[in-house]
Amino acid sequence: MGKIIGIDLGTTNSCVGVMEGGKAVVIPNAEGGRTMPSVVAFKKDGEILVGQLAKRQAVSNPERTVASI
Amino acid sequence: MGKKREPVKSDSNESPKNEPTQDPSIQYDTDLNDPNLNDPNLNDPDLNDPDLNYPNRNAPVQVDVNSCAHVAPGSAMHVDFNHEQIREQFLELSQEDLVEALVDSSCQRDNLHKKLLRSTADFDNLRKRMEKEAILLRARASEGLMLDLLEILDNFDRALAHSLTPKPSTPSPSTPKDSENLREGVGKVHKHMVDTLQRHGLQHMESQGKPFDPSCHEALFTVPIQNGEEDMVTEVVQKGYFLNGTPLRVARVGVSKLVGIEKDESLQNDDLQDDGQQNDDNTENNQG
Repeated sequence: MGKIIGIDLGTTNSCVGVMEGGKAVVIPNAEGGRTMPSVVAFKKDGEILVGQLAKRQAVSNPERTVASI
Repeated sequence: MGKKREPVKSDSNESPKNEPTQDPSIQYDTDLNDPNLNDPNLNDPDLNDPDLNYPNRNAPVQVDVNSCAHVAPGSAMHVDFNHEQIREQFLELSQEDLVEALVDSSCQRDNLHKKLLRSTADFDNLRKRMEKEAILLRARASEGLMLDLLEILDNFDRALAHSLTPKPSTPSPSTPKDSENLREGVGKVHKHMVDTLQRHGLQHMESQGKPFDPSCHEALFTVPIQNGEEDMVTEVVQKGYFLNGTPLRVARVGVSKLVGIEKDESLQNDDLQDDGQQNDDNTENNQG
């Protein structure tokens, strides 16, 4: 049987957990954070950014950044 | 072992009892007489998902001879037993031998169950211990760095004490010479600090004039420019630093933005973009 994943897709931040040994364990992202901003951005070259990276460039690329949905 | 239960058979000629029937005068969303309606296999999308190791719901559950747990085939707990071989073995035994075998199996099961409980408890204790150790480790991880920084703190204390203490042989502290000395002293302490932090893996992030990179920079504001390159770092409000090659703190910067140019062509073709100017143009074309 596969793993059970829980996703909290919040308006501002999102969090992901997995059931391990009967307990929910939060999965940290590559940068070590246990939550990440619920932001998605599309760069001019077509690259898609999510989370903290998307949030950092929101001011300089507002037309192509989606947040607080 | 108990009497084997026969599966319930239904006579297809008889009308099914207690099944819902549809009133022709009412419009239903679902056809209650649809024979496929209650077929779980048909309605369950996960059943056909090759990525999920999903046990077939309708497969007969096999009873493990060595324990009373019902284990479904395909699950992680299932162990392959050759039931036919074991059944043939037991069929040859006398009643006394069967009782003996049953007692042995029960004892073995109890022992294994106790071992399982012990292992689970051990695992739990290990996890709790590791969590405590991780917390302690995190708290003491910066011990070495702190000890080295204390020396720099000591130098700052000495510099401050020197600047406050009036010296009889020298004029008032506000003379340019004293300010210059203070500046030189603080500069040396600053260099000492930078060297100490570099020894611990800290590196300054060069951002000024570089292309904006969200993995290293955070845009605080845009700086309008008439000509030049867009999306370049024009101002560094707060320096960024790397720790052993990975960004420890991103630089907070201002980013250049060209003003007075036509919008980017890719934005005009973007379906998600709500471009008021484009809609107006389309409206004019339709009306023309």
